[in-house]
Amino acid sequence: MRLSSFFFLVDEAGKSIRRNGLMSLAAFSAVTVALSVFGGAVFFLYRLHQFAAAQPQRFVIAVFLQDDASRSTSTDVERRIQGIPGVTETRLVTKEEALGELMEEDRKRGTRIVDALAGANPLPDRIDVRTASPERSRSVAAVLRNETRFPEVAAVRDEREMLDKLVATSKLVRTLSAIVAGLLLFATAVLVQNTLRLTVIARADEIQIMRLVGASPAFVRLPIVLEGIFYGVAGAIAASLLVILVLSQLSRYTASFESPLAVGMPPAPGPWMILVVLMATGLILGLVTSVISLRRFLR
Amino acid sequence: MIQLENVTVTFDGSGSVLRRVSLTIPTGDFVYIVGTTGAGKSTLLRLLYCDACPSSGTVLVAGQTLERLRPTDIPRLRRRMGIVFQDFKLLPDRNVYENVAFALRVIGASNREIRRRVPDVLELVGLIERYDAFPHQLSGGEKQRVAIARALANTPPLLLADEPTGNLDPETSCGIADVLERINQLGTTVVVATHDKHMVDTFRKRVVQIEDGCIVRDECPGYYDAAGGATA
Repeated sequence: MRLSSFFFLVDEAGKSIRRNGLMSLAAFSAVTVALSVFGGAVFFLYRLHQFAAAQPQRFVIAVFLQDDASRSTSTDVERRIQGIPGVTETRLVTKEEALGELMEEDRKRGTRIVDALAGANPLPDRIDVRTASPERSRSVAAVLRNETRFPEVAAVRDEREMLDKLVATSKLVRTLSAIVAGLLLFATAVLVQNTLRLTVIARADEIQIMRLVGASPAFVRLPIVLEGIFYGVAGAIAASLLVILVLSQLSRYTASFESPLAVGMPPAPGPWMILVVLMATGLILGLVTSVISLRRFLR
Repeated sequence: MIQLENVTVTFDGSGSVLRRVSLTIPTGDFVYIVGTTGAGKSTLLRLLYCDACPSSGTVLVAGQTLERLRPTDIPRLRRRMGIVFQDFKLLPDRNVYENVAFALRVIGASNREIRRRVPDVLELVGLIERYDAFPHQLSGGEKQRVAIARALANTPPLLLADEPTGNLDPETSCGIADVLERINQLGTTVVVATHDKHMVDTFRKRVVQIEDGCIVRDECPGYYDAAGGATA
């Protein structure tokens, strides 16, 4: 394609946007509103997913050793636990450290459990074990409970029920998020496609003339596709600004009562990430919907 | 230039619009296709510019068998013909020059070619003085001249006109017929589907009459005779 032809097509797309001022405004507004709702909902669902996914990671398997286990035995058991597939991290908490933790708990809660012990330390050495995924916890805990392999272990606490519920919830949130995001994207695409179809109908004569004088389908399609991309990207930029503005106001408001459950959650996607995701969505939407809108006219 | 052999066209939900039509139009010919409304004149032209497909038979245009044409080849074939309609189909927001140049731009012509070619065709149709007028500032006859100029911009060897004088008074029709005749004298094959008795009888050329999808008369030169009576 000649450079002059390309500039002609870009100019045609620009002219059409200016000429159909009200229609262009409608298309731009439709994309902005639809992508704002989509962007806001996806951000919320993504945070919900991050939150649900972060919960099981907070849980560790606590392995209590026999009272008479020597320090070297504890170190040896820790080394063997590290060899179990799926284990990512271990931490040996000696009985002295465990007592220190208990004293700290007493101080925080205002209890006097350590005082009641009258200088004795009945706590055993403990090994905290983290696994690669919450789903692996069950199999790792089963290995640790095997008395033949780990006779030094007195008890294993893995909060199995709690973990199972959280894993199930996290999966449910992930599935629901994907379905809701998919439905929203579909609704956005239908809205944008309908608006673009109106702009295509407004150019029906032009398209017919182009075809009759022998313009190739690509040449007929390009100005409309460029127009669709323009609406998609421009609408996405406006939607991003709107979403970023609303989220920044919301985060200022919610920061004052942040739940302790949110501690350890990965950081929220930044403004650039929102802009890039929405712009990519807008671009693809504009491209696909304009091609679909043109299909009937190019038959 | 054009050859139809036993061509039948049937659209969904209707009977045959054309029935076993055979017709040969040599290069440089000027042919009027006449007939009553719904006789199949426009369908015949639509066949030629690949806007309708034959249900059976063979259509040959400029050496191309249309049934064997791939969709990607259609634009290339259309560049070898100019098409003129009753309703002009001009772009209202572009002036005369831009309307004609549009036909060249969309087939990827260079700016130099456009600057050279557009004044030439406007001169041919007698509208060079009105190059900067917009369609709403033109009379019906002038609009049709612009449409003809646009159809000729790419110097096609074939010009198809579907009721080019349908919206014009007899005097203006003669002006359009005059332009078409001049174009024909330059070597372009011209096929005009028309109801315009005055034009057909004044500018006498070959007349092909279609009734109910069949060719009932083919005379050269002929008169307009919707009843089908032979008047050579």
